[in-house]
Amino acid sequence: VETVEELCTLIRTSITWADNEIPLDITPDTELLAAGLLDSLTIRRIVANLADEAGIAIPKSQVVAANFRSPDDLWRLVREVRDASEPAAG
Amino acid sequence: MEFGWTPAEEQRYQKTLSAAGTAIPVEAGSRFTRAKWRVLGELGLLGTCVPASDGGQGLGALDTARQYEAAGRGCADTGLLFGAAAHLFACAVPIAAFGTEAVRQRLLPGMCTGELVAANCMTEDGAGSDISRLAATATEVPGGYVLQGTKTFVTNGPVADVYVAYASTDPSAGQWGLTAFVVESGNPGVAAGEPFSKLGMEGCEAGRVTFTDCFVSTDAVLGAPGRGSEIFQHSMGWERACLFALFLGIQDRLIEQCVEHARGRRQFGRRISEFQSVSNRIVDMKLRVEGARLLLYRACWAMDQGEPAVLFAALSKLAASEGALATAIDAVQLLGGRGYLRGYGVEAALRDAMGGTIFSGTSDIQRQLVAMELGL
Repeated sequence: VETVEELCTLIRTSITWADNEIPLDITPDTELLAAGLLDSLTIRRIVANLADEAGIAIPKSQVVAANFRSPDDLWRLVREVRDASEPAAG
Repeated sequence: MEFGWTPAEEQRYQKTLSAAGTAIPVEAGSRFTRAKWRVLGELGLLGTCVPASDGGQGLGALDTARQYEAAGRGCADTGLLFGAAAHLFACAVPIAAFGTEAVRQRLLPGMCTGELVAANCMTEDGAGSDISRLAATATEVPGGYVLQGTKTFVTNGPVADVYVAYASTDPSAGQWGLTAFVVESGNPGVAAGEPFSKLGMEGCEAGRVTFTDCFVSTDAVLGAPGRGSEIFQHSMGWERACLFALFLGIQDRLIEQCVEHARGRRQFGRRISEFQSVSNRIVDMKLRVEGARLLLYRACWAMDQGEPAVLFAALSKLAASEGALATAIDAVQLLGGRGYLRGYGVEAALRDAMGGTIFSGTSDIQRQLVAMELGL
């Protein structure tokens, strides 16, 4: 997951869409929580997929509303987690 | 690794086993009474893991589970004991952990003695396993909140004095928009429906509870606004680990009945225990209960150590509830006509066991949790 657009794709594929439902386009500013797109299982799936596909371990303490309101919010967290896990330059 | 019990733990188990068997009269189809509820309070089953400073026994998860295991083995009124467990784990536990000092002092001593009955209000017609989209709302107003909504399958609901109710305070925040409230039954706007007619657990009343323009003060919030989902998961952790010890005790009792019957009944000139189809069925019962017991103790031990217990709680809930159902079916089969008739207690165990695979998270949900813990 190198861009916020790739994160949007990961979120879109983590959501279980009903048979009669056309998967919505997820954009960086999609209101994920307000639109009711994230139930508890989907949130766990997104966290698991970020770990499996991008090696990004979201701390449990960061699984809070402020980080899941939109892909932009989650992208900010992903970058913070990634920066914190990379060794300091020099 | 230590599989033994301290003398104090063993004494506590034996005392509850003996008292539960004699203090609560069991009759077919017997219903909830306040008198029986107060006996549960005297036995310490309504405040087992509530801190002593709040009126409880202050026991940990493992010791609490062991008390429910003893009660389940000693007393065949599973519905009554289930109501006690729901009162303790889904109401007293979150009030003790997240309630304000004033709420704890006002309610917990009475909840521990049996003066008060509590009920957990989460499930709705449209929200069972998925609680992220509750229809019940709580709107902030000066000094508190106004609750609106109808809850269903509220264990103890028709007879409760205290409700722990969950409602959405921020519909735009999904699972983080839920808030837990303590609501007393005398509060204007609270209405409990008639008891449901259900398959089993006749000793426990369950029904709908409706909140209509129900004002509660800010003091009624458990934890903080938005922490409802976390508080509910905390309660479910206790339920999945400790409540199902009750089903271990039930399985122990059924096995004892089956052993006694198989040793005593003679057919074709010999005891039926000499037929391997009969004895192997009892062996399988024993295998189920001992496997479930180890898983359940493991989950409780993790809770007492402050370790994550989701995986073991889900596995133990599955093993204890599905084991109880399978063993109850086997017991009916083994006792034949006596198993099928009301009055011997075995058919009631079968009807009671079915609910265990549905409440506190269905078997399907437990398997989903295990799969996710495995990274599937």
